Amino acid sequence: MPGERPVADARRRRFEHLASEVYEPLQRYVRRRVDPDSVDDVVSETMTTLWRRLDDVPTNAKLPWAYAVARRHVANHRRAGLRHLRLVRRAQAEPRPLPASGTPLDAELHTALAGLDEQDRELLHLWAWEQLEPAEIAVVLGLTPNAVSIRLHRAKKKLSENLEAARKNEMLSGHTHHEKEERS
Amino acid sequence: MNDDDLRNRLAASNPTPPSEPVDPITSDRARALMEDIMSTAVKEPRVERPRFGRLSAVAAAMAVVVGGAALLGGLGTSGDPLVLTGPGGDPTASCLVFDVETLSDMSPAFGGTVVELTDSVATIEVDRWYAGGDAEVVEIQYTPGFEALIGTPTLEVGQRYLITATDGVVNGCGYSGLATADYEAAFATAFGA
Repeated sequence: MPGERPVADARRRRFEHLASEVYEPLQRYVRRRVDPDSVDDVVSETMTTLWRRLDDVPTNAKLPWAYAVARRHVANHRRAGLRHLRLVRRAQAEPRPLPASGTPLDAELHTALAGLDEQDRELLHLWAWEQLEPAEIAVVLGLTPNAVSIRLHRAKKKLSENLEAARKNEMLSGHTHHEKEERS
Repeated sequence: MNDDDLRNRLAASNPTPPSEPVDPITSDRARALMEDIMSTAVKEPRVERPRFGRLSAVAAAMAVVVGGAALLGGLGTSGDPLVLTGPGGDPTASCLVFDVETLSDMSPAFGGTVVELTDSVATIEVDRWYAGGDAEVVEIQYTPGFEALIGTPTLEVGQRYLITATDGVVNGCGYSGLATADYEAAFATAFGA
């Protein structure tokens, strides 16, 4: 039909432009959140959803919107896996282990993060790992920027307190260990 | 520790920092993936249609409470349940004809298994969100006759359903029901999931 081809071409160009902006950061986002074997599947599913919903992608928040789509696919992958293994309830109660990587482990930080709930951890990760600002985090999580600002502020405060507690514990255990060594 | 220090410390623990190489968009693999994706058919642009007034025929039957712990937080990042309620309606009103495009406009939409059933509340453990949320648990407050509205003889523990709601009210008329393979395929098409 006349006119269909140019429309299809324009859509392809728009998607290619979007893909050039989001494909690489999306891979990092997904790698941080699923096992290595699932990364390609989740990225592919996310890009497919972006293609189908291209008209819905907001021009001023493409990457946060893409993260929001990826987040849903990540959650679905986890649920499918958890359902399969019948470990849903146990998994909810346990903090997620740090992904294996070459990044040196900050044990104090890991302990402090483990003391937060999953929602707070995700907020902090979007803020620090994805380097998003509250208005962008709001797009990812489907919240208002104001709600994100309040929750992020609380999460940062909790993390700081946990870090301080972890530091004191570390000092105390180091001190006790030292005393034991002196006695023996 | 100020905000910048905290952010830097967290960023230093990033298992996939921006410096870590990923598949570039210019790679053959990425090109092949994008071509494959762009070869899939896309729905026609949506046209304005009336809201689901007649679907609210099922409204009187139930209200949906979405809540529980979220794996990643998010809609429902608050630990408090999000209570969705809907208007009443005439249960004898006729239904819209089922079509995938109408389905694709519905939110929330999810799949899950009934894990607990009382006289008025069905607790569903969600295993798949298609749209509009990511809570682990949905509680459906229902009244007698609800089963018929979602096209199933009985609600049963252990049974899996696909559910949509509009304005907090579960949609009947074929827009919620038992998770058969065909029905699941319709949801996958509608939500591109």
